[in-house]
Order: sequence, then C-alpha cells, then structure tokens
Amino acid sequence: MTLNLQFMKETLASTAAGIPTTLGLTCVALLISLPAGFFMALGKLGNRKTAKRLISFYVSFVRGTPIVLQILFVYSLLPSLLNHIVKNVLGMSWNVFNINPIFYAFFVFSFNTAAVLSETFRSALLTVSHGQMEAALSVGLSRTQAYVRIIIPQALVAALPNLCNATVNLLKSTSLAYMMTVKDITAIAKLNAARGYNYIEAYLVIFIIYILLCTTVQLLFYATESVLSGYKKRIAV
Amino acid sequence: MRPFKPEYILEVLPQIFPYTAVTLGIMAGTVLFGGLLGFLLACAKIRGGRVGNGVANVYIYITRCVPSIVMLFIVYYGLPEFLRGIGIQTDSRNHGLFVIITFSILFGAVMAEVFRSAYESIDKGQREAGLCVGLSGFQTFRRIVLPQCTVVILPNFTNALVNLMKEGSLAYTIGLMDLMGRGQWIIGMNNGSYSLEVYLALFLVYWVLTILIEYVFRQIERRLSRGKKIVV
Amino acid sequence: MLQVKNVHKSFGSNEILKGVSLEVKKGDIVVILGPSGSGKTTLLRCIDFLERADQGSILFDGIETDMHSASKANIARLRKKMGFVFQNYNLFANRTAFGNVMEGLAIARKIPKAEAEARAREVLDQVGLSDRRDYYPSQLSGGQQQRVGIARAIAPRPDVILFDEPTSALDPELVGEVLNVMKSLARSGSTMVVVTHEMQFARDVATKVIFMDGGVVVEEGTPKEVFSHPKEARTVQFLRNIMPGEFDYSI
Repeated sequence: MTLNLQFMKETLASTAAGIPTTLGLTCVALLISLPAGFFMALGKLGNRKTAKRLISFYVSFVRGTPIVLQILFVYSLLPSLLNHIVKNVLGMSWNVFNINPIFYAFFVFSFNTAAVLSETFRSALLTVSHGQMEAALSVGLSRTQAYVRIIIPQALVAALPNLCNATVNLLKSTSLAYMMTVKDITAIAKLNAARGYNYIEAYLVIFIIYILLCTTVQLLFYATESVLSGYKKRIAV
Repeated sequence: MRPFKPEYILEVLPQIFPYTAVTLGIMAGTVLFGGLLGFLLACAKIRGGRVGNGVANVYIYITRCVPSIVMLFIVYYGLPEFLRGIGIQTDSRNHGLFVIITFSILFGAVMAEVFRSAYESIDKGQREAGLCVGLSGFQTFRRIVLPQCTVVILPNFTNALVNLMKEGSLAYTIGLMDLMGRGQWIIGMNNGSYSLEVYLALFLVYWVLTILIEYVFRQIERRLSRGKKIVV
Repeated sequence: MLQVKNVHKSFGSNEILKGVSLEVKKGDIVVILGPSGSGKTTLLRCIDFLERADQGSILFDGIETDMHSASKANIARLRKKMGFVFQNYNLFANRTAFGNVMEGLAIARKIPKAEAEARAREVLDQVGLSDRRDYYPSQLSGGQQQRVGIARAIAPRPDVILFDEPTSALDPELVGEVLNVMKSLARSGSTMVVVTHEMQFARDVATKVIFMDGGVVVEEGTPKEVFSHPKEARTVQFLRNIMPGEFDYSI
C-alpha cells in the first residue's frame, strides 16, 4: 500500500479551511452550555423538586442516547418546524431553508454539552466544603457574593480536568456536523476522499488535524489550571 | 409540515427492536477484544518499563484525540488496502468485523486507564498483608487485589460500556445493520417519510438500554462492594 | 447587650436545644462547657443564623428579632454585629491570609480600600502573622490558620465574637498559640462567647461559665462558683470525667 502524498498535501490545505468552522462550533457550543450547565447544576443542588426532576430527566436523556441520533432528529425536525412556524403561524414569507445549517449544529451541540457540564459542575460544587459558604456568611457576605467570590472560583478549579475532557469530547463530536451539511474538517475530507477515491489519505489527514487540535485544547487547559490553582500549591517549608 | 403520526412509533418499534441483538453483539465483541487490549496496555503502563509505558501513553493519547467516526472510516477504508498490500483479501461487506476492530482500538485505550487507575487505587498494604499471611504473589493478586479492583472498575466500566453503545451507533455510516442501521434503512424504504417517528423509536430503545445497563451493573456493584460498606 | 431567649432546635426527631437562654453583657467572656451532643455548638450556630432555630428570639442592642422567622435583611444586619470562629477554621481556600480578612471589610461592609487594608494589616499583626500575610491557607499550619480565622472574625470590630471549639481540631502543641491570642483579646475588652473543652482557659479568662447538657443550661455562674462549688450532680460528673484527679470530692 502506498499513500498518495501529493493528494495528502492538497487535502491538508483544503481541510485546513474547515478548522475555523470546527473550532467555532466548539467555542459557541461551549459558550452557550457553560452558563446553562452551571445553572442546571445549581438547580440540581437546590430544593425545588420539579426543577430537579426536569433537569435529571433531561440529563438522563442526553446521556442515554447517541449524539448522532440527536443530530439526525434535530436536523429533520427543526428546519421544517421553523418553516411551519414562520409561514403558518407568523405569516411571514422569509425562507427558513436559507438558514446556515451551522445554527442547527450550535443548537444540538449546546443541548448535548450542557447536560454533560451540568454533571461536571454539580460534582465540582460538591467538592467545595459547606464550611466555605458558612464562613462567607459569617463575615457578612451575601449568598450571591459568596458564590461569586468564594464558591465558584474554587469549584471552577475542581471542574477544570472534567471541563477539559468535555471540551475534547465536544471537539470530537463536532466531526458529526457534516450530517447537517456543515462544512467542518470532516465534511471537507469526506468530499475530497470521495472525489479522488483516496479515502485513507483524506482521513489520515484529519486524523492528524484532530490530534493537533486536541493537543492545543489540552495545553490551553493545563495553562489555565496552573494559573487558577495557584492557591492550592504548598510551598516547601 | 407533514403530519406527525405518533402511532407509527409503536408500529416501527417491533421492526427495530430485534436488531438490539446486533448492537449488543458488536458491544460484546468490542468488550472482549478491546478489554484484552486495554489489559495489555495497562500492564505495559504499570510494569512495561519506560518503553512500554511510553508506547502505551502515546497510543492512549492519540486514540483519545480522534473522533470515532474518523477512526471508523480509517479502519473501513484503510485496513483492507493495508491487508491487500501484504497479500490478504478482505470482504468489505463484513461490516461487523470492521466495526469491532474500530471500537476495540478505541475501547482498549479507555479500559487501559480504567484498569490502571483501579490497580493503583488498591493500597499497597493489601498486597503486603497478603504476602505476609503466606499467600503467593498470584494468590494475593487473585484473592485480595483483584476482587477489590473489580469494585473500583465497575462504575467506570459501565460508563465506558454506555459510551461504547452510543458511539457504536455510528456503524450505520459504513453500512452495518444494527439498531441505528435498521432505523435508517426503514426511513430509506419510506423515502424519508416518518423519519421523526423512527428516530423517536430509536431514542426510546437506546435510552431504555442505557438505563438497563446502568441498573444491572449497579446491582452487581452493590453485591460486590459489601466489604466496602461504611459501618455507622 | 446580647440576649437570646428560649431557643429550640431539632434535627428531624432529634431535639438538640430544648429552650436555652443566654445573656451576654459588654466585655463578658462567656464560656460554654458541656459534653459532646449537649447542644453548645448548635446554640452558637443558631445565634449566627448558620442554623435556623425552630423557636426563640435574639435581643441585640435593644432590638428583638424572632429567630425562626427573621428576614434576610435582619439576619444580614445581625451577622455584621458578630464574628464567628469555626472549629475547622473554614478559611477561604482561594484567598490569602490577607484576602481572608479583607472579604468581611471591603466587600461585606464596603469599608474604603485603604482603610480596610490598614485594618487587615493591623489585625494580622495582632494575631502575630504579619509575615504570613500573602500565604494561602494550604501553606499555613493549623494554628496559623486558626489565628487567621480569629483575625478575620475580629477585623470588622464586631460587638461579640463567637468561638466554636476553636482549638479542638488542632494538634496539642498548636493549641497554646491560639489560646494566647484569645487571652489577649479577652484582656483588651472584647466580648466573647466561647464553646470549648479547655478548662484552664475557662477558669482563667471567663467572666461567666455556662454548663449545658441534653439541650438545656444546667448551671451557670462565675468560674469559681461552677468549678469550686458546682450545685448540680451532672456538672460534678462532667467535671470529674474531664479533669480526673483535680476534682475528686463529691457533694
């Protein structure tokens, strides 16, 4: 077996054009699911029964079903549902099918990642001892102040390793965005592969790109962690 | 918008459900081969010296970075070419084999970490105590270390298994007729109609399977972890 | 100055406080003694609203507040009059010693930064930790952490400081440094309520000793009255258990 190196070079150049899409998708989904996941974690730790049940149900669903199924479902439901709403309910003539499919991708990946992050944050919040909240109240801080200044900064550090994991998994799962006709690196590689019948070369190229992207993400997290967790380090006495 | 027919979900369920066997079969094959691979990798990490440890680490790192679907395509398109290069012909219609190979490669890396962390979680004192009461090295491993490891492994294994099932649903992209493949086939037969109903039926099956797997393994875990109960 | 009346508190079916009342005058050093499970800690935590009492009232500077139904605003107002020192220090893990003291000043009480910083330096100096100002809790010994805990509690100059077994989590050789800080606080005229097992401290420093058992106040008086002439059998039993040899006579 010989690899077509010329083809690999060309594929590398053309798939690299998909990197912004892959990273953009990852970042937007992360930006939406971070706060969503955090508030769901708070909801799960609170005492409202209905909220707790709803969140558990949602998390169980997302974690219990394949993301590819969630993608296919959303992509066959949302566009026609939106079209129906725009045409028949709002009575507008705007064409829904012109929407860039990346918005559907934002939706699915946020929907999915928020569930994962709610669990991450929940366990991270639980690692911060109850005494920290009591101490904050006893020096006169309000509950919100205590969360913002004392609890969340500590929970964030505890959550970082799992947050890194979740981000890597999110980045990997964006490779399925091609099913919604989003032009990410996997989509471009697939296109190239089919055109030249050079499947193995095309996939090896994105294999390498994914390793590079994941490495970058992990290095960023390690850097963040070492900055944020300064307070945990003991100095040798 | 096309009318939604909830009753079609019930109609399609019996057509999909038998293919649970294929999904579970693929999982069983992957657990077997991937588990073995994971065990070997864990051994390499624990006592493989610098070379063994390094090789295992690189393997685990790389597989962790690659999306399942990319790995699946590489194996499906690349492996036959590679084998042809060394004079072996494969039948590309044998989808199950490629799927098991792909997911064993990925599952092995996950299980390697599971095994290693379980082994490291067992207090060295347990092993030393075993040797001190006169058990042999193997007896100590078999009677003292292994049972304690199992309890630590189970929750992580359950997690990995559920993930395997979910990722395994990607196998339809290379034409495997498992749960997901069957669902897609039905949608194809209907020229794309009733896709929502079929997907909902699939959601139901996968969700129930996840809950069942988690329930069964939690029961096993409960059985095995009796020695760990905290006495108040 | 501070008076709590008829405090009741149950956890589930377990009644911990069965109507406890307590009066603290300005400059008082009230030491609460009693076997574990007697409700001393719960009483202290109810006073600072870390636990919500089922019943009872708190009278502070002439204003009476119902402890069960107190509003958020009232709780916040009362808490700012008190300082609390925890058994396991509960220093903010993500703040330095200095930062721990600053929270209650600059953030909770909105004291201007320069003034707050000056005061934080002053109290850390007072507990003998000016050289550990920029250390995080994880870099301090237990005794040092508890001294920061005390500095944090006294910095806003509260009317009363509540101590919840401040030395019982410490290694024996570190107890002294914390007790010394507390003694010098007492000498400087602070008002303190202290739950502790340190009998020597109670004898030497207290202006009033309260003995609690089974969720009620069994006996109270000056250290001399309680230690030398205890009236109640339960007090005698407790003192005999905790100070064998020193307390051998019976009534």
